[in-house]
Amino acid sequence: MIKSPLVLIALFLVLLETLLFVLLNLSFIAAPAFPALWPDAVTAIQIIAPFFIITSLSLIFLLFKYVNIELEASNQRIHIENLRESLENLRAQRHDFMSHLQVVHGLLQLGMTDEAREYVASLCAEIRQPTRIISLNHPALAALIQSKIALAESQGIACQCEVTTELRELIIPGTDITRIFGNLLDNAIEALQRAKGERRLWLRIYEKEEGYIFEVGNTGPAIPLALQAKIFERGFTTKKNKEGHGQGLFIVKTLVDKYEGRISVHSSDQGTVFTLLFPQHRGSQGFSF
Amino acid sequence: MDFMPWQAIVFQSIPESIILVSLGLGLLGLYPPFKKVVLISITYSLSSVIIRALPFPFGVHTLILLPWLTVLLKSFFKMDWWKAFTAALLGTIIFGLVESISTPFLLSLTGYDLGTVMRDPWLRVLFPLPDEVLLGCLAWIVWRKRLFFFRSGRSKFY
Repeated sequence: MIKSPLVLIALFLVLLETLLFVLLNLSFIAAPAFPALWPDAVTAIQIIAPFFIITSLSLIFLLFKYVNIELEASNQRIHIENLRESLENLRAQRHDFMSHLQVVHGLLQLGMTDEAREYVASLCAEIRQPTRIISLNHPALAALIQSKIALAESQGIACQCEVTTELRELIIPGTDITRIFGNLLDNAIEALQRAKGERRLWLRIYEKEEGYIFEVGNTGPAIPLALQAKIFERGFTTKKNKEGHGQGLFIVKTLVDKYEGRISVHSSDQGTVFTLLFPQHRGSQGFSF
Repeated sequence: MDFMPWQAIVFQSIPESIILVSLGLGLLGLYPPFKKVVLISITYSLSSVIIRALPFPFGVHTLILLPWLTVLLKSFFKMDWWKAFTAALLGTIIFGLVESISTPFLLSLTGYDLGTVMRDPWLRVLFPLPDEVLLGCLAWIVWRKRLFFFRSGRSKFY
């Protein structure tokens, strides 16, 4: 049901404008038989023109409004997809956890307490990082990192994640932060798909005096120095298939600028690292859902 | 000023009104009882005879008839004002569009001028017949297949 008064006004304007055009046309056809509504074509156009201008402006305004709504909906869809992936990961982890418990139970029943202790110790080390990610004050970011790490690991990519902050004073909406890190992590995974040697992805999140630092690194092919300067330009891509690529880093840069952050890239034979810095907003509670 | 002969009222104006109202309502996703549509169309058609007889230039009658049809739709069907107005507008525009395309074509095809057609009661009935058949079929499809530009919300019609 149409409820927005703006849409209704635009609809009526379009219909009225069409009606006026139809009447204009018909009155010219009927001119030999009936007295015309318009003295001449110029007057008719002068009467209809303001309608046309107002209608066009209204439609342009509505178009922009709906493009923004569609963009927000698209971000929400990405966010929901990340949450869904995250939920699936949790289910898989629960399944793994049951298997681990059965192993520990078996070891203890056999009286192999040292082996059981070692097994539990190795499990703790493995679980510590995901737990740290979950403790982030940005559920959307935590869910995104979890899902991307699971995706990378499923492709045989070794992942390291070091989180030493909870990002309590970072004010970036979940939809934008997932766009930033979704693009960076996707690019890293894609670069590692093309890598020949070691395939490793790392993410470091920590805080310094000047703000929060995020490092997204990968051991994929190095980006030549000449290209590093252009990497954040719209349409720029290092991928062979250029169609549909070259928007991600431009979006990342735009969003980083929007939140008064900084982004830099360093690439060598050891790997490529994107470093982002976002200011801390002291006294705020950060962004949360 | 246009004096409509009885032939034009019975065989042209009333059927045209039925199609206009059905189309306007149907394209908004509203399908009231057809008897009521016929009743409202007859009322509209008869009132249009009076309004068309008024000494206004061509087009002004349509601009007067439009709010009148809105009032009729509103009072007969207890619709929202905006729904009634949109239905009246849609029906009128579609008729106007088809007429503005077909009339010059038919005039050149038959060789008649509009003045002759308007003065002869039976020519006046026959001339818009192709439009009426075409739009009648369209209205029938719209109602049968439940096609609409946009659903204007649940109403008491269904």
